[in-house]
Amino acid sequence: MKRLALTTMAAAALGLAGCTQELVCPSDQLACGGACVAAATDPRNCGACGARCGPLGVCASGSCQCGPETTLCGGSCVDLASDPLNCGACGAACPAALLCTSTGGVATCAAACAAGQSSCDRACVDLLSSRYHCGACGRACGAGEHCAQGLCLADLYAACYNTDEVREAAGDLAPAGIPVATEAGPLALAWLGSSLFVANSLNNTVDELRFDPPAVRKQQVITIPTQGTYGPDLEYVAANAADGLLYVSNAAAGLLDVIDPVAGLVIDEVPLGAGTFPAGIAIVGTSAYVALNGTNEVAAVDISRAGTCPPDPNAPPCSAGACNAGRVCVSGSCQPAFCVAKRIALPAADLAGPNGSPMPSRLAAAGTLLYVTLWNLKPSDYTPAGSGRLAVIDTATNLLVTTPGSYPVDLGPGCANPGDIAAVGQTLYVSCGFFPYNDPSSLQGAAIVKVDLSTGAPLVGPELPLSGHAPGPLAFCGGAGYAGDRNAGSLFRFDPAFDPTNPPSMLLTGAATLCPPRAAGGSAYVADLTCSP
Amino acid sequence: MSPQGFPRRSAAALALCLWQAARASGAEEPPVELPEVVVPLSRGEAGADPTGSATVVDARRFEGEAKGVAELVATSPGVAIRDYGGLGRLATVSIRGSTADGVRVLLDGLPLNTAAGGGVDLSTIPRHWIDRIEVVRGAEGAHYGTGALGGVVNVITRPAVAGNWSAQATGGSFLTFGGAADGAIGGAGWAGMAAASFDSTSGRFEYLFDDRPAVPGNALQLRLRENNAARLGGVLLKAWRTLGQGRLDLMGQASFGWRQLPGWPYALTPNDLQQEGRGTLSGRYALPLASSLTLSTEIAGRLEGLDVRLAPPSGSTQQTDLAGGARVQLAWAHPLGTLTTGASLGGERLWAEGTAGAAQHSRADFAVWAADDLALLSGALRIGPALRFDAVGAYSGLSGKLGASWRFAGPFSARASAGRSFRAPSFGELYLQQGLLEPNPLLQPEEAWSADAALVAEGALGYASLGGFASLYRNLIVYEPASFDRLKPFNDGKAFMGGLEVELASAPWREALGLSAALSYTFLASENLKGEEAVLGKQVPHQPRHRLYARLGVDVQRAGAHLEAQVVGLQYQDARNLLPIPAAFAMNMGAFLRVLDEPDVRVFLEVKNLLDDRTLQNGFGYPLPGRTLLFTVRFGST
Repeated sequence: MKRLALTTMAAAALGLAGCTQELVCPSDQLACGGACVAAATDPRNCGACGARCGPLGVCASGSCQCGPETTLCGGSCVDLASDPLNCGACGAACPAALLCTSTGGVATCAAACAAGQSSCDRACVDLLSSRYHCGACGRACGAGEHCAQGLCLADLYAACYNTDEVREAAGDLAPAGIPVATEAGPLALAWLGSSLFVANSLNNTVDELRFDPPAVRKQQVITIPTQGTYGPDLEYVAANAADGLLYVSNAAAGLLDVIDPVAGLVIDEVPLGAGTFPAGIAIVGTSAYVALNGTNEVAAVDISRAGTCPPDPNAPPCSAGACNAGRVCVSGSCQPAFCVAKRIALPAADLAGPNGSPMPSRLAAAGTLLYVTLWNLKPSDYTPAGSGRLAVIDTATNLLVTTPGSYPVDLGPGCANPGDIAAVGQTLYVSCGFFPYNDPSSLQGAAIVKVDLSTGAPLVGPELPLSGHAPGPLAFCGGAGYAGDRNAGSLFRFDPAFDPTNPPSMLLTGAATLCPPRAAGGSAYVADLTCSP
Repeated sequence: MSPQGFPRRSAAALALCLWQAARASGAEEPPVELPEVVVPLSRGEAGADPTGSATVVDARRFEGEAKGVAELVATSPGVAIRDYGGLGRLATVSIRGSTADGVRVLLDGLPLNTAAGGGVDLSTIPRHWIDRIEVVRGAEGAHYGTGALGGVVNVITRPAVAGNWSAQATGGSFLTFGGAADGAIGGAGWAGMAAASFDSTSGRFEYLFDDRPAVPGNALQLRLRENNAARLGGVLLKAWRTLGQGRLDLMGQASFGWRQLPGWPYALTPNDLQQEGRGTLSGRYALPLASSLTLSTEIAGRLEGLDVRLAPPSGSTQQTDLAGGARVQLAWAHPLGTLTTGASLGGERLWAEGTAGAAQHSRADFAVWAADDLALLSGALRIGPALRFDAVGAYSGLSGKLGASWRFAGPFSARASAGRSFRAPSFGELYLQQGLLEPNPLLQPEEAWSADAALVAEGALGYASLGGFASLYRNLIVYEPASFDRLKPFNDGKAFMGGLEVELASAPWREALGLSAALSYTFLASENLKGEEAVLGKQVPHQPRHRLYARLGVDVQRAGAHLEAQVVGLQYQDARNLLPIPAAFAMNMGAFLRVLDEPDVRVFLEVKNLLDDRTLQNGFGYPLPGRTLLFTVRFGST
């Protein structure tokens, strides 16, 4: 009896001991002091917890190195252009009252900093461009980052869906900076000014990421309340510099959410209809075009706030001519500021393959024409009903362009299930790829397809095949094209001028794993990709 | 499989029948009519686990109130019901913060959880046949088998008592109507019962819809719930007979359901529907081998079909599940109590057709167990150890339970128990693609450790219990983002659940209009123990901290009335606790009038959602009906 009681208590104690918290970090990070750290690039935990790189050092591939534009002097990394103890050369110290300043690439000791420079402990630096004093004295940018206008920026930003992060990369695909933790399920990115906004699909939030001092960080979380009436699923975010607002596709509720990022609030929700599943958004002038994946339409939403929306008979009166942010004062009453001006139907009979449904997803504007990617899948089993396609909308009339070759634009047999579309001048780029849910090895139609718009009618081809990968989000900067992988977390770089007559340009010029799986062997989804502003 | 031991009420009925048999044998003395002796089961004692934390919900207390299984279970502490919108709607149960998969649901001891997974839809159990429901809380695998991580719901149907019969008809709001009838015959050493029931509703109720939920002060719109009809029904056949020295019990049950699936208000599904059917057969023979030794053998089988017609991309799926097995059990009444040992062998096969093509999966299961119910100190102290080994397909494990109860002073007793249980992954989690959900064949079993203790008072005044509990769930199967927009299950979940359970049920106060009161309150503190930094320590989604059920009733034999209130506290939709679901409050009331004594004829009126709150929803966005009136006429022998 006594032994049984003791055994029972021991078992209970063991059970209670199992009540400890277990931190789960992405597969390429370490758990340090209750937080996940990227030991490959974090200068405070470089290669190991607590392993700090010295001043002007950066952490690359898990080891501390002297940062760019620095020199090793006496075992320390120094900036010869501004270090008052090594001004222009190792050991060349300025007298105590003087500063070290550089003009025309020549460092000298002086009584005052040159124009455009500030003194940081007697080192004269340009706070707008110094990567070791970026925006503020002592604020160093991370590996692979550069300082622009006082902001530590990388070349590329990726939304890593599986690990709830935004990760940075340099143009050569090397990891940069330190991953920024987002809310759950980051799916879309958009720049507004110098802030990067992240739409998180799994808990209805939009994060604001800031890059000014003191550090790259998540500045605020804007929650889109559900009142428990639907499950979260944000699919896209678009930023409108003209009105300073964000527009978010709320797929679960069939709404277009309008957010004021300064106030951190949702100011209006535009009902798009039950079961519409809004996806991509493109802003053209005073209209937001929303792809309605569930009902095969594109909704043209009036965002002019000019009082042109249908009147609300129950609208409250304007108070001193002012209304809540989501309303506009019209004839003494606060009328809706945002509304659906037109629904543009995408007929399956014309735009999809046999037994297929168009399923519009992403949009890109080139001039007054709007190009809409069509998944072209069979609703019965979600397999391709043919090649990926585009629909074309004339935004001047909000009508489909029905001329041959544009109705639809067939992207060819090498493209299935388009993932993203980008307009670069007179060229469209469309990423494609499809595999059944439980068989990634049967990937089909994986490529990036070019569509030439320079002659008026869309001219499809060539395509850059990416067999074995599922390209998704696209970005173009620094003369290169980049694509994220929807399954393996990879990031690809390619020559946008890929030309079959010039074979070297048809090759990928780089590939690297950017977004890791949560656990080894799992999948990783690069949900969105954007260049720095 | 049936619970261990011999239900007390059945023993009393057997004794009565045997006495009647002796009487019919031709004794010369004039017969003496003895009053029927009904041995009431303790409200807090489940048949299979007498020292476990349990509530026995007596369905007779709610006669005529048109309450389904889920509503009856909801009167017990420690449980949370997911009700998707009224009569005939999907309703699942969570106990002590478990998932629906972590609750083992039995019908007269026969498990209803299928290998396809997803928990048991309580609305598929016809409500008219229920005698009582045992809600057993905690890791109960040692007594009830795998899958009982949070607890067990054992629905026990009415016994076959010769001469008993009843018939009732119900009608009410939203074109709701139904009927049920049952009758039993019997004689010396045998009885048989047949019962049938049918319910139907259009489900077209009005609700208030917010087309801009993130905009404060937005005017709500009145909408009609469409594509929400349901028709349910079933047949129950039971019989028992003394056979030689023993007793043979047979039961067959068939139920069917047809229901339209209306979808979320923000994503309506005007054409979705579902059809399901279930049939069970069981036979049990209990034979006393000696004065203290009873051998029982049982064979049981279940066939279940599900046909779901959904709009793309989910598509349509059909599933057929066939399960069967046999078990043998030996009960030895020794000087200190009763020792029970047994073994079972069975199998299950699932046929599934859907968007991923056709699939068949099967697995065998085997179990051995031993449990003792020790009664010491003249029965004041009971100790119940139990151990069970289960092998389910490729998975196996041990479940254990140790419980004790001590009646230390008059009506007061103390109870405590601790246990460990596990759940093998379902075929759905392992192999089936379901819409955006991928399978994962590498999953491992979930496990639960639980402990609880309570003070109990039970006597002529009623029943009261105040207890605390703690449960640790590990290797929970949770769906996480995979590639594209898909989700895949992994054993990445770990959570702690702890709290208080308070229960009160007073006996009717005859001097005051038969006033009675009942209350159950649950405080649940949940904590996520595994995951990203942002979710550690946060409240587990859809697990409110507070749940309250309260009831006041009067009963003057000829008439009566009752008033109920239910409160569900604040909870969260997401693991980071950024999306709150507001607390909910609802009231019901009802009344009855006895028109005749023989036969017993009564009319009932039940009003659900008395305050006609049309914003009520189930925490998952499914609106619940506004004020609902149901009128029932019941005829019966008792």
